Amino acid sequence: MSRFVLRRLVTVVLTLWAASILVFAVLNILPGTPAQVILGTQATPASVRALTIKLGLNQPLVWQYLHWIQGLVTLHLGNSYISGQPIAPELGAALEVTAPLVLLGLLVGLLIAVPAGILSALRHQRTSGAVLAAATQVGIAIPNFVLGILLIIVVAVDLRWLPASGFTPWSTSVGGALQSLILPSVSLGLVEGAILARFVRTAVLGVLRADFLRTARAKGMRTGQALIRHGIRNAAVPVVTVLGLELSGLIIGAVVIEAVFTLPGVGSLLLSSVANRDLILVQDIVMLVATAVVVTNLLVDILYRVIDPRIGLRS
Amino acid sequence: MTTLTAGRASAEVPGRAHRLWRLARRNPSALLGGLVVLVIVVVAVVAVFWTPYGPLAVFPGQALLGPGPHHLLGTDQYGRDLLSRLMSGADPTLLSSAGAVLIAGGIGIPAGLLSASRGGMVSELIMRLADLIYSFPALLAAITLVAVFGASTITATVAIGIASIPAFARVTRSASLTVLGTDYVLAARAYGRSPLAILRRHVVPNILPFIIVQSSLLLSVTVLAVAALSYLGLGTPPPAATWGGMLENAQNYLYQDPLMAVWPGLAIALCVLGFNALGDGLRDLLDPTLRPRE
Amino acid sequence: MSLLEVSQLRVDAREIPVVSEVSLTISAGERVGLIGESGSGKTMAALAIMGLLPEGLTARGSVLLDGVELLGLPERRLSKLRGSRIAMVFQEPMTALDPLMRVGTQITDAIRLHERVTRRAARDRMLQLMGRVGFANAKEQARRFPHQLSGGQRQRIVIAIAIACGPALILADEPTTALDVTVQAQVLALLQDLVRDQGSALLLISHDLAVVSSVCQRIVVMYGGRVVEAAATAELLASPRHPYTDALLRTSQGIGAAADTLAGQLPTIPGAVPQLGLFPEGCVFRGRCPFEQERCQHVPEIRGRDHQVACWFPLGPPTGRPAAAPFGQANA
Repeated sequence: MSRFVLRRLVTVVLTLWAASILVFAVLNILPGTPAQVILGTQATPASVRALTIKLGLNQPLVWQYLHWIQGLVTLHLGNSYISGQPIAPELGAALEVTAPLVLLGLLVGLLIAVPAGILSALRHQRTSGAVLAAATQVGIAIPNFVLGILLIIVVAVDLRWLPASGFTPWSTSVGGALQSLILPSVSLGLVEGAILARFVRTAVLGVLRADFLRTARAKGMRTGQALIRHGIRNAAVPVVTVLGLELSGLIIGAVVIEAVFTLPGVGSLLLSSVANRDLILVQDIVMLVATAVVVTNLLVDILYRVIDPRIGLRS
Repeated sequence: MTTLTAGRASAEVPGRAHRLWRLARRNPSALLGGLVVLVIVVVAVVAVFWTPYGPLAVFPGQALLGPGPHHLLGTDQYGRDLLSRLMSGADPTLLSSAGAVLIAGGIGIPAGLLSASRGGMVSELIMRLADLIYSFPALLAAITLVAVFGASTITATVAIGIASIPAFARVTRSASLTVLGTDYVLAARAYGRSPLAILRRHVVPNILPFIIVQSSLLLSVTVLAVAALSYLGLGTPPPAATWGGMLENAQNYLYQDPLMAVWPGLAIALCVLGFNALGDGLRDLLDPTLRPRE
Repeated sequence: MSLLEVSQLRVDAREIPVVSEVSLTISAGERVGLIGESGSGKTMAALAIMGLLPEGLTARGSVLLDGVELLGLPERRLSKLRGSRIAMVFQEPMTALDPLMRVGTQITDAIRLHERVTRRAARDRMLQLMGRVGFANAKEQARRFPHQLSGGQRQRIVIAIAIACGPALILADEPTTALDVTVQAQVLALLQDLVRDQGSALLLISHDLAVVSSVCQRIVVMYGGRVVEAAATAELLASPRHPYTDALLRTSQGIGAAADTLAGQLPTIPGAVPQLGLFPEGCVFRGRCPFEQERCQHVPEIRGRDHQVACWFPLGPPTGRPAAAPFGQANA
């Protein structure tokens, strides 16, 4: 177990290291110095030079890179180029919105995918199963931001049940915060749920035809018993393998959904920093999202091996 | 059961229409997807030459009209005809997503072939690079590039294309490895055919179906990414009509004219559905073993 | 009363018959072989008896176990009989076990499903069973997952599951086909010993005449979903009456003969087994049979008491009984 985890951890660190070089390189091939961009074309050369020195942008690129990495590792993320405010607390506040959003989205997705997938597999020869399968097919095609806007039209504009946008901070009201996350997480989770439902369906269909289920019934289990005792775990294996992909989809989908519902999360922060050319902030957030994607995949990989003894943690 | 259908089929000589009907019944997904894609492509081509009004033409007196006889789908806040904008929005969407798939295929397919045929360090390096790119989802890559180069159709296309390279590289690699492991390739090697000739004669024709399927499926993903980028204002810049941009704009008028948001949303969903269904259907047609058995 | 009494069993896949008019009785403790080529319907007949037919297949006729009709019995009652009175050993030990569950647990499950015993007692029984099927180090092996065992070991586990509750009847569907040749004999001998020790009856399904004749007291031959001949093993081997059985015997004897004379030709049955649903009307062996006559366009009824045959023109000297005289229906 530990050897596999250790090996994968090394790969993850190497991947993230390569990713950091890539991100740094891409964001620093910008023509013109960042200071010039920040101060605008009207700025005097003297003030541009002063800002360049203040931001450490006169140092060699390697030094700048190492300085940035040091900051990332020690969580001293420095200050924003634009507002001059420290980045860490700002990012922390944004995470308070984005992390619950992604988790709630996952919850919604699973709550849809598992029953829908199982049902459409069990009833695959009946109309109800075909309808469910078709519904998931359509669900996959609806982008989360389109669904978000449709939900706003129906639930917020027509029915006036929930706010159309904005976020009530957790510190003000936990209920309010949850309420403002309902529509976003439903829009986020519904689509991922539809994708996942198809995998659940295929997995359950596979299990239903498995020989070991017949063996279980031959020794005296009823079909339902056999499905619970043997079916669930076996069906979970292929579903878990795509869960990593689903989570990446949720994380990146959150960026767009936050824009739809004007939630002050990591995605909104990323978009505003792009608009402001606040490159250091862009750099940090892109690394943060990439890290989340890579680490999520690592966790799913480990989970997969815990469930399935055939793969084993040693290989 | 297969023998029975085959037996019945050989009893009659089916006409073309009949054959199409049979194909459609066997695989409604491919037919439906193909039809939707065809319609969207036709609209995109027509929109280059003709739209009911100019997509950028402003009619200040006719702002925010609902659907009506003069403007079938209504107008936006500047009085621009929504149908015309919807039609001409198909162009950047299709061009951008197709461009991204071309970039991804142009790099990913050779990389996958190389990795499969060379093995060893080269293969390892290519797949590690694919893993690296994989940790940047298309949208994240696009946002990063836009931060540097500014929002434009080309930036969006290139970014999504690069992010999609691993999808092609992996499919190409695994399909090629399967072909390279077959007995006929072994035989070809045994009588001294060069590796390049083996790739050309045996591998490429055999993996083509996989690549076609992957292209179609990937198109549904890139359409989505392109639409999302233009919705976020990071794609083709206004005032050019884009589906995502129209959606973003319509969101400001949800209380006055909610239908305005429905049209571009529908267009995006249909386009994604079309490519997705086409890819799924083609996969079933080209490789029955991949089909989840019913 | 016979232990198992199958009469006029018919299995359909949609409209296509897979098994037709199969009648078969097994007495307590009796070992019966069911033989036929792949596609002859023998597996489907066994699954129909167990009530485990795959989705889309339906069974008609009658299957009596201890006088209780199994066809149409609700799942709740059927599941009480499965494993305790009637059990099955499957062909593919690779897929018959749950890959994610330790093999010991899969045996323990079989015990605890039918008997109210403590976890501990069930575990002890399981270890005992594993010992009986030949695991020297049961305690350790019970903790293994199926993929950590060899094919033969896996099949021993499947057998242990089948005998766990001492069933009166065990259906073994090609239990050694998927195994290495060297292991086949061991597993077969084990199965035979266990059945004898427990006094269970056995229905051994195989395509291999040698396997069946070494184990079973009586042999039933199936072709094209129908029983074509049934007799005591020695009788059947000595004087087969159906042309198909005769051909089958020749091919299996021929292997030995051909090995002796290098130039010797392997005897084969001309033609190939037709695909499902494409068997000829009338006698199913028609078209491959060297003795075909016009009358064979009608289905021959199965006749005889101890030696039954379904053929209009049975071979060989009548075995002590006049063959020409019409006999009554055979499942009396």
